[in-house]
Amino acid sequence: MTELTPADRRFVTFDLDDTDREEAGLNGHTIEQLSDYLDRGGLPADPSIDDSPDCEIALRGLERLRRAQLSLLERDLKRESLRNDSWVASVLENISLEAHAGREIPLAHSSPTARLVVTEGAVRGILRETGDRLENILVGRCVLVGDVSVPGEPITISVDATVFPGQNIPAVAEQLRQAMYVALGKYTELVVAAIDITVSDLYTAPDASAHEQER
Amino acid sequence: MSPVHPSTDELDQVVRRVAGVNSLYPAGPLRAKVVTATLGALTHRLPAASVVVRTQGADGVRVTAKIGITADESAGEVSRRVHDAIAAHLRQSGDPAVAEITVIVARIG
Repeated sequence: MTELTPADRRFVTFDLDDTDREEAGLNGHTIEQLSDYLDRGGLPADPSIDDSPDCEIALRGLERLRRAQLSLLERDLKRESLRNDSWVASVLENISLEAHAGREIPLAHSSPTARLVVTEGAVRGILRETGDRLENILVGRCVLVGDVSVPGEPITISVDATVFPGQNIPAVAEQLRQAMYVALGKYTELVVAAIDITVSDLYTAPDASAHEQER
Repeated sequence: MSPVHPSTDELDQVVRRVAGVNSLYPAGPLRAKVVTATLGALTHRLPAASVVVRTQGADGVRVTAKIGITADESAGEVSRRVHDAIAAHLRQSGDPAVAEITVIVARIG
């Protein structure tokens, strides 16, 4: 069934406790199982994970999230400060939610017998990766809003992001927007009317001096 | 001489050879337990069984291929190349009536 999310409504339908729904989107696996699989270095090989594009997209998202966490942890340790990892849970939820194939987005071909599509999951995956490739920003949520199954129908992209310390938020958001336009142009034939970016989390390392005073 | 119809295994090879394709996934339902061939996967496993699905309907042959593509290629270009490669292979292998060739890009990069 096609589900559309109005641009003016926050996407809050995903429940981490709903494992049935999560497993349905990840080829029978939960995000925790995929995380364990990553810990084990993909051994022993599990074809039901390795051979699922949805799981691959989720695994890559998990890997990028872990790299970002590690980088922030190193910064925090240098500052002898405490970390606030609440944003990680939010990103984790969305990796799981967005990895599933979702709707089919048509690609043109002159032959009447051709039916070419790219899945919504593949597009969200590459958009997330495009954002995560930029420094100091991590994509938390990415939603294609509108009827992506109709060629030529204008749609919008709604993105939530976490920005890291010391960044000019409008500049980072504009960088993300441009990178996403390029990716959408390369991998889809969607007519993108707008990319709406909401910086919903600011990663702020606690003040080390304040922490010292508390001791 | 009777026409030789391509097996889905041959179609797998045709799809894998297309520039820009880096993975091939089972196009049928998961419960069919078809083994997938994934090129460039982290693990090394034995060559897999066919994963491109070919069925014969009253209106002709239907072929479905689910692929992953490299990030340096456009999804439209690669999927069109895959379609054209399948269509050419069918023509060379008996030229059956084709009802539909479906190409699904399921992963990018």
